[in-house]
Formats: sequence, structure tokens, C-alpha cells
Amino acid sequence: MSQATKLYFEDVELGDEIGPAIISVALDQVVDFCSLWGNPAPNRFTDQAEAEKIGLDGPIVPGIMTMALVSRVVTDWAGAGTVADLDLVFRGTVPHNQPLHVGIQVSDTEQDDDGNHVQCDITMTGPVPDRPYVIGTARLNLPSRD
Amino acid sequence: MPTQIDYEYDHSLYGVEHESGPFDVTREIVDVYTRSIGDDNPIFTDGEAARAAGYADQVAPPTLCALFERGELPDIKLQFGRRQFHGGQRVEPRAPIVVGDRLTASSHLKDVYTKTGRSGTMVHVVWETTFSNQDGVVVADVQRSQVVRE
Repeated sequence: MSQATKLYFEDVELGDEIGPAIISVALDQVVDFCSLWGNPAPNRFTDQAEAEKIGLDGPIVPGIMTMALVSRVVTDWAGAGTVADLDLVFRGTVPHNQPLHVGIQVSDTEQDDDGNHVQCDITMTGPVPDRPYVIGTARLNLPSRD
Repeated sequence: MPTQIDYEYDHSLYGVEHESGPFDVTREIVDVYTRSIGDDNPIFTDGEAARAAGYADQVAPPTLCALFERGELPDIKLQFGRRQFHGGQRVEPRAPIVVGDRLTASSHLKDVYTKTGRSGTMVHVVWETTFSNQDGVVVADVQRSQVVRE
């Protein structure tokens, strides 16, 4: 599906599983992100020594960048302008240069006077599937084919 | 009503709005943001494609405003713990944010509560921020949970 293609409400069913999308984050991406965020390198997100100072094994991906990556996976699937609510809990530090598996599962669908709503559960895991880095939910508003 | 917890902090912050900004949403910011997260959706990367889809200009991905959310929020003077980490984030987009927008933010302390688990007690400090654009339209609500542990 093209990035610009819209997902329609009728395309989605309760229990649908999307992905996992497998992504990874390189140092230069984190450096760019931190420069926008007003947290220029070196810091615990970009530098081994700075990370070790606070007890981390290595530099990590910032929480708001992790959220941006999850959001990207959601909009890659559903399209721009569909996210009504993205609510994430960061349960573990997200490392650089490791496969990150972002999974989406449709937990509810509903149509009402306000539109067509799809509720999803979200996870981001690393090598151990039952110890997610991120859990959360997304609510999407989708167009109808009607 | 804020949750009651056993640790001291500055309760006078409740009910006080902290204004910050303006934050200019430039094409450079949106381009660097999308590049850093590998997002090549043309709505987020190409003004022409966005306009063809009915937007005023290149659209910011829905979580971009969280970049501005950290701002200069006051210290709640929590008498607990030393180590902090980012425990959670919530973004509720209300209207598209596009290149050329100028955002302002209004933040308030939403709640402070404790959770105790296997790794001990953690205090969650939750700030809520509403972003508006230059026309006074609310474009997003953002919640950030900062966790303090022993």
C-alpha cells in the first residue's frame, strides 16, 4: 500500500493484527532528533560515556522519539490525519541499532455520530517478546467508503 | 482532585497554567523530524502533495508538537527520589499542524501519584499541555508522565 493511500473503516476488523513492523534506529537519527528537541549531543541518548554515567548499558532512544516512531508505523498503515489519540507507556529503555518490532492489534471498532473509530493495542518489543519496551493504545478516526 | 500521596511537593502548582512559546513550525523542523524517524509519507514531506490532499501546507506528523512540550515547567519540589525517567506520553491531535504555524502552549500539573512494584515505589508526575495555533485553534493535547524512583 502506498504511503498516501487511505485505510477505510470497512477495511478493518476486530482482532486484525498489523505487522509487526521491524525498525531500527541509528545514532545519526537520534542526533538529528535531539538537535530539534533542544537536547544537543553528547547526552545519554547519543553518547556511550554519558549513558554509562547514569547506569545505562549504552545510549538509548528518547521517549518522545520512540513515540514518533510508533506514530509513524500507525500512519504508514492508516494514513496521515487518522490518529485521534496515541497513549504510550515506556516500560524499558529502547536501544540503538537493534530490531524493534512494532505491532498493532485492533481491539474495537465503532461508528457513531462523530465518525468511524478504531481502537488499537500497540506494543514495541525487542528480542524478548514478553518484555515490551512500549505498550499503549491508539484511537483512529477513519473515513468510510459510503 | 489530585491523588493523595505520602510525599511532600508543591500543591500550589495545581490550577496554575504555565504559558510557553511561540514555537514556529518551520519546514526545516518538519523535514528533520520526518527524516530522523524515517517517515516518507508525502503528506508529511511534500507541501505540494499535502495541498493536493486538502491541507494548507506540509503537515507535521501527529506527535511533532511533543518536541515543544518540555518547555520550562516549574520544579514541583518533590521530597522523594533522585532518578527520573520518561514514563509515558499521550498525544491527542485536534487539528492539523502545518508548516508556517506558530504554536503556543499552556501547561498545568494534572496529577502526582505513586505506584509500587517489584522495583520499589515510583512517583508519577503528570503534566498536561494544550497547544494552540496562531488563530487560537487548539491543535493538540499532550500528556507527559515523568517517573521518579528511589
